[in-house]
Amino acid sequence: MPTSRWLPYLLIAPASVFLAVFFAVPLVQTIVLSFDGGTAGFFGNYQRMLGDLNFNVSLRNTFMLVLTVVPLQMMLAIGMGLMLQKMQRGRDVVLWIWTIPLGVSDLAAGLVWLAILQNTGYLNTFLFHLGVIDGPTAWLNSETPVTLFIAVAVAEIWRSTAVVLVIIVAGLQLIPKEFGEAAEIFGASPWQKLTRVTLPMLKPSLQSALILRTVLAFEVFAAVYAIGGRNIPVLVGEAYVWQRDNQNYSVAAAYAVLIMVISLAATAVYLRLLREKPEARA
Amino acid sequence: MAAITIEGVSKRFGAAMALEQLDLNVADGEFVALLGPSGCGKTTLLRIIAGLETRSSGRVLIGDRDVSDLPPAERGLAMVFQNYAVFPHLTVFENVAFGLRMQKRDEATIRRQVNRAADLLQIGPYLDRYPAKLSGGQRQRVAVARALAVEPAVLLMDEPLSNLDALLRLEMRAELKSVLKEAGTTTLYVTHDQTEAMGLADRIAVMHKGVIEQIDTPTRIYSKPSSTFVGGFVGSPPMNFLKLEAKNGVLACEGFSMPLAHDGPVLLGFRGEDVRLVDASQGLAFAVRVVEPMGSHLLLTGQVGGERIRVVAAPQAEIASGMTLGLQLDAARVVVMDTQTGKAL
Amino acid sequence: MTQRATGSFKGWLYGSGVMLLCVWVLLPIGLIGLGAFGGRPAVYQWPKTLMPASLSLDQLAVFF
Repeated sequence: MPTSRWLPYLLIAPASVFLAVFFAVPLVQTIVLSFDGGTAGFFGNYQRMLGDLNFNVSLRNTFMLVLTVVPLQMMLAIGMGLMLQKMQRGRDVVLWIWTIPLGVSDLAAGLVWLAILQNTGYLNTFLFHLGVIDGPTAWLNSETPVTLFIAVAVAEIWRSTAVVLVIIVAGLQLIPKEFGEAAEIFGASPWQKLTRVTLPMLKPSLQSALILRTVLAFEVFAAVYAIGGRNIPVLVGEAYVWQRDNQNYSVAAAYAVLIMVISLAATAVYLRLLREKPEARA
Repeated sequence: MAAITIEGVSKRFGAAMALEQLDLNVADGEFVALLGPSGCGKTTLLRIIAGLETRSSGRVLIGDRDVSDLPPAERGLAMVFQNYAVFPHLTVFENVAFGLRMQKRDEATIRRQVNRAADLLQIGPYLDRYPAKLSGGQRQRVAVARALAVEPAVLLMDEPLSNLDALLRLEMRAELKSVLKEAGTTTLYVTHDQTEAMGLADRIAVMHKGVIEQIDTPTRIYSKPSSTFVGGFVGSPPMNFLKLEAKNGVLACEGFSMPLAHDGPVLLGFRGEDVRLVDASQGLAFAVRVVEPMGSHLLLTGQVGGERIRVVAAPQAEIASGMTLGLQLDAARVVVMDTQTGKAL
Repeated sequence: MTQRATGSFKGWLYGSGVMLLCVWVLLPIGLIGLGAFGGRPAVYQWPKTLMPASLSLDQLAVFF
């Protein structure tokens, strides 16, 4: 029947239109904008971006944050997921508590940690009472880049580990308990059980979590700005500055395109590295 | 190779008793099937022996060693799971080699033992493949090979055939029997399928509500059940029971009598194929309600007095529903049960 | 049972790990929650007290 042939397309039409209008069009616009260099030519905006004083440092900071935050939070989330699996009582309550940061926006998370880590913050009060410091001490300005970086990394890990945890918990629940039991019976130690059975079987979940978190980590911005302002420049932050302060939308678009390319490249790398052998797929 | 000894093992889940003071001996090299309906505690018992479940009391010995508090790996056993639990990310070879690798055996030994187990289960051609490319029956073979490759003293099997289709199950059953006979491994096999238990086991332990009702050879379990439960659970059709009154040391009904040192009501149990069908004027009057031609025999369902009875007749017998026949019992092939306890007298 | 007895230290370790992670998640939220009632002076209060020195609902006024 002709109606039934068109029905599927009709049904996906709203979603397709939505994506086209709110995703594809702005994407194309951004790309076009980034190459609209006016008198400076086709790559003019990119040249300006590369020549920007903050470009190198923001690129480095972004990569360092991704390379610090993502591995640490993956390990943390795997540990948390395994702990949850071992729990017999109170599992739901603990899972609930551990996923609370899911509901905290990145700006709010930044402010939370700012309140703790600023000059007159809770951490300094604590250190003061311990006698480690004599009075308000600055950790978050440009003279203390290391502690500032650590503070941003801690805030990011605090805020965004929950989403990794949720993916890993879901993945762990898909592994029938007999696999672990078989490993145990055939003599695997807890560590061997983890590395030879659980993690390989968790690979699809790990892959999803890694891609999701890496892409989002390259877009890190609000928490960084709340804690460090421009003392620790990152790529999205620079895009924001070019857009808001410099009113130069084209260079901001060039930054946006760069971030997108990096994210796509990272995704491609993960898909290749963690590809399941086709013959092993159930 | 080693014997398994279970001494007074109990398991409590909250207020519920899953196993009650259970004793069981499996001789060295013997194949014992734990048979029972779901929830009878057979899988719990197996998991306690494996060390995957804690017991509330009692002891488990393998050989002369008390393994009650040892972790699973140190008990010298191997297990085959209902869902096979064949690792999907490892090749068949690595699956079979898994236990040996964990024991840190040298490469030559691993290769030799894996090949031997693979030959035994005829999975040699698949050693390089991944389990996803195998059928259910082949995965089952991998699981058994993985268990046999470590040359365990004791092999535990938890409903290993129940995920296979009927024809494959029949095939695997025969093969499993010959493979295990050849390996000579002491085997404890959990199943709810009585034909599996009858076909495979040297002895069957029939479990019910956390206790072993009867443990004996398949033939004796079938023909001399120790309780109405065993008689009703084992055999298809199940054993028939007639309520009779024993008087003056004799249990009798039409066309049948036997001496019995018990007075009062008893249950007379007999198998559907152990009766002789005679003319309605002799023996017990049997009103045939349904006739089912099963190919190898006719299955007759009808009534004696008010009670439902199932009887097996020769396939060519000319019997139609609505007929009344006579049943003649053989005193050598009946069992007598107490009406109260349901236990054999 | 001895298998559980040797596991009790491990169990304790697990328990404290779980508790530590709960604190890690909840403490920052608790601190900012309390800080929100301190009014403007609490931001620069030194040293900080667990309960702000001057409780006020001024900060919540932004919502109305």
